[in-house]
Amino acid sequence: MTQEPRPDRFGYRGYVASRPVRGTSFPQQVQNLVVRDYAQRNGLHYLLSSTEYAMPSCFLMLGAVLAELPKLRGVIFFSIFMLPQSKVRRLEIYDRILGSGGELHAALENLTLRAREDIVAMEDLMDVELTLPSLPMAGRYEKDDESMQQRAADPFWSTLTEAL
Amino acid sequence: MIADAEDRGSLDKIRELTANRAAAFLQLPTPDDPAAFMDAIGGRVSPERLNDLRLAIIETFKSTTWFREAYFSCARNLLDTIVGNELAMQRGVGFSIQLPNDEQSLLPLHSDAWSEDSPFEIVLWIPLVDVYRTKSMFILPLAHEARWREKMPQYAEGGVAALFRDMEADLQWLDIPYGKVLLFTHTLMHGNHVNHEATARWSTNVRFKALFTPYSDKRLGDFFDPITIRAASRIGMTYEQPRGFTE
Repeated sequence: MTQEPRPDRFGYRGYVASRPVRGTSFPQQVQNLVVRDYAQRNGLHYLLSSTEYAMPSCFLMLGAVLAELPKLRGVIFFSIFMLPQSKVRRLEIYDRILGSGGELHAALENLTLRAREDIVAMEDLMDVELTLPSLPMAGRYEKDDESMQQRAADPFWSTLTEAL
Repeated sequence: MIADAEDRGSLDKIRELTANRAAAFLQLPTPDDPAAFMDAIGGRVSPERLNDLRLAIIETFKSTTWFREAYFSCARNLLDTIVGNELAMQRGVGFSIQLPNDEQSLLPLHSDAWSEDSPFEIVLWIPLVDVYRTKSMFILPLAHEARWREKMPQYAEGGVAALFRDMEADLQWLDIPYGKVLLFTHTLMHGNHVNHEATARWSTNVRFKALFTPYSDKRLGDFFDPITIRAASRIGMTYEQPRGFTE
């Protein structure tokens, strides 16, 4: 059950990445600018960001932020796509945040998780995003010469073009 | 493609919301006739304040809970036919006010696919007033597109302005009365020019794409949101094969 934030809890901890987010590396300085700007625009008291380690699938710093939740109003992720790819792990994280009466914010996507009803929209986004790499062109339209040549040589597109 | 708005009530609500917000921003009484008020806005706002007015209205669109659903309802069936029944919709709203003879709010000839957009996107462009001739936007019809696209490298020095001048005779200015919507592929070159008509243009634009088609730099999550996901896709996206077998 979602709890009301307690008055002795203070601030929103930033959470930024040391590894690429959806294939793009963002300088931490830029990530922090995005998080601070989001906090300011939404009237949230920003607390210095925790920086996740670079090792793939490592969430040690997120674990530390979650352990800190009883003292926080919530956490501001630079991007929602920093969450683990495992649905089970994501649902556990939502549970911990909401169960402690906290909030999850995603600055880049301007998303907020405040209640269980918010999980559906967030998970729709995650599910579609994680499906895109399985689609033709890996769900990504690149515009450089090499990608255009690869596209021209892709049997999926040549078969489709012939059918049309 | 130009078609009647499928939900005229929603379009009227969007226009009323826009006119009322503009009047509030300019500290004017709520207009009785939104169309006349919007057409004549040039006499009530300076070009210097125009962008602040535009941003205030965009903020209102963002914070109005019914807005996106209302916008979508103006072309729901058309989008289903042209794009598909599993859709991603732009999270924000493009909004433009172009005052008569204002040279500050121009959008030169371009295709969105030349920059951050995926060619799989479609634009739903809805004017909130009658638009015609230079009060509207221009588009290069498909019949001419390939020819001009091939010529583009010749304009490396003259730039887009020279390209526009040379292709001007082939461009089509779209006359769209209020109550109709325009659905177009932004792979076609388009833009606007100085509005030489007597009244102001107010127009909105939102991109849609089939949910499971390739994205470019306007990505799912920060630019697009899924708005329709069918049951079979939900099942497929979350299905897990049996695991743990050993040889």
